[in-house]
Amino acid sequence: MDGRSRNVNVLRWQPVRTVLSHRLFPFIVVLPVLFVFVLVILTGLFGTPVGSANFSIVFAWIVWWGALIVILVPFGARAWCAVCPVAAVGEWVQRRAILIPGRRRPLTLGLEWPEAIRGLWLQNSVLVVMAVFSAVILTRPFVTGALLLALTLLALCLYLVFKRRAFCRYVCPVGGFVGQYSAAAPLEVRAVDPELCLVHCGPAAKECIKGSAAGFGCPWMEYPGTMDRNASCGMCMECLKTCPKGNIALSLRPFGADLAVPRRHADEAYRALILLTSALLYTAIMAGPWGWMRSWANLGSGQLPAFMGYAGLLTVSMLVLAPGAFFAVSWLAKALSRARDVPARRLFVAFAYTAVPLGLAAWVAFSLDFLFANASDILPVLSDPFGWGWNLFGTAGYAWRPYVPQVLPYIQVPILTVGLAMSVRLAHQISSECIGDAAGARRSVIPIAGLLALITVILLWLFIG
Amino acid sequence: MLVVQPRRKLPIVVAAFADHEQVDAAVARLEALKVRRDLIGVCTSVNGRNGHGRERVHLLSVLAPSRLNGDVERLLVRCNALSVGSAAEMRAAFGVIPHPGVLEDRDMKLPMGSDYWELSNPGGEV
Repeated sequence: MDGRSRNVNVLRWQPVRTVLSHRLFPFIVVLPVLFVFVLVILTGLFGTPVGSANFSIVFAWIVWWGALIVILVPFGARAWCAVCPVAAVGEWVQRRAILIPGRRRPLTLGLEWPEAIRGLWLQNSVLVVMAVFSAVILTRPFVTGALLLALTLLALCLYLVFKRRAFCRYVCPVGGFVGQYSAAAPLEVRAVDPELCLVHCGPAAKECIKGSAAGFGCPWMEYPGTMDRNASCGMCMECLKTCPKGNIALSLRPFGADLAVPRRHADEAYRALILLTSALLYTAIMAGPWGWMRSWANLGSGQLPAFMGYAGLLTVSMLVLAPGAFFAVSWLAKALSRARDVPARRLFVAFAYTAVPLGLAAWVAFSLDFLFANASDILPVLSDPFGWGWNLFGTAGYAWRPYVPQVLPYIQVPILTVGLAMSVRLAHQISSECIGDAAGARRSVIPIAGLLALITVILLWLFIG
Repeated sequence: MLVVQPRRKLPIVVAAFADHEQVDAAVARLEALKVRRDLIGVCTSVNGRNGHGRERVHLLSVLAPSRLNGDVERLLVRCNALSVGSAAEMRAAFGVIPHPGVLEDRDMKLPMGSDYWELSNPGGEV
């Protein structure tokens, strides 16, 4: 029995199929999300500069970010992308339609994304820049509002120039984060029978990528017939609407199923390391005992040189030190396995994927930390979103308090332990995939497992030490 | 619309080419043979599913009526295909085959034929 035969297609349950194949989905979810998003931008730009009293900071970086990392990505893959307001506006303009595919030419130059910057390197660069400025973005409402507005306008511009969702695939930093960790999620959209897709041809066929009267062609430039990973599937369910054969499945599957797919790329590998390193560094900066580091990261007045030092340290850690450590253990793995014909670079790219489960676990543990610490800010900003002294729902005076701080380690330790276990298991799968000799493959796991364990110990020390 | 039942032997011919220009030339010659673009699929693959670092191969697939299969095979050979075979043979050799009607241009997958709005409105109202 292969892995896919154990999957459970939830579309067999008629109410789920009815909802997801309805033309109002995902618009009906996008609408309230868009309302909150506009409020986040407005409160960010015009509200109080005190982050904890401003709706934009609390809802963007506590409510949304917490929900994204703790629930949406680990369990829903790219479900967020289906309702993302940053992309929605540009997509409606480009399609010249919101619900029903029209017969008019899309409002775009329709260029293909330039081949030279295809792949994830540009997105990785944007991620690094965002990582460097994250403390500034997270604490200053105006910066948050301006950044979200700028991203929306950039997305709109790219929609007007390039085909479909080029912004989401190649630029959006959140898309990069979500795409990486969607590999671990227990949910996937796939063709039920790819052979049926293979032969469903002709002028009006391949509706999943062309579109039809029933729905739009895949905005993500994916094709369910050959799709075997979540990385670029935005889960908008347009393919469910357009497929005349009923050949689309939304399936529950084991955690981390995509990571076993032996199709690995250097840009994705680098992104996995960037994200794991940033989770580790953020934990050190935000949860660690080094207040001076927080001050450097926050770009306080007169601290530009210190911030530059911090930016340099962060960038070098993400782009040089972490990849260097993974390359070193890959070289050691090659030496231990005595697999002379396997290039160390290939092992490096493959082993970097082991950073995905542990990285996601680190992000979840880190996010729980600030979620539990700051969730009490939600009620006051609901009543006074701009921080202008309003009390719309009578909750403006609700006092800040951290929730159950004593329970948190009991949640974080198991999460990190599971992340480590999944990463080590994946390392063993990868070594078997790359190195033919079983004994050599087992030996090659030792260095990478050691590095992953060391990272976990550091994280545990930062959380509970 | 040509829809073939999957249980029958698939009349899909697949060819491998060394470079993309040869694929473009083959597509043009297939169109001259009255094979529509939406029955042709193109993708770039490394040589074998796990072939890290191996040479890139450009694959082309054609779904054509059985009576044309011989002509299509000969045409692809004349276009300097590295190899030509059935869907099953070429999938075994390269791990993947392009689906007819789909253009896989590196990681983007787009229709090889027309988009829906072009089908509905061939003139394309701007």
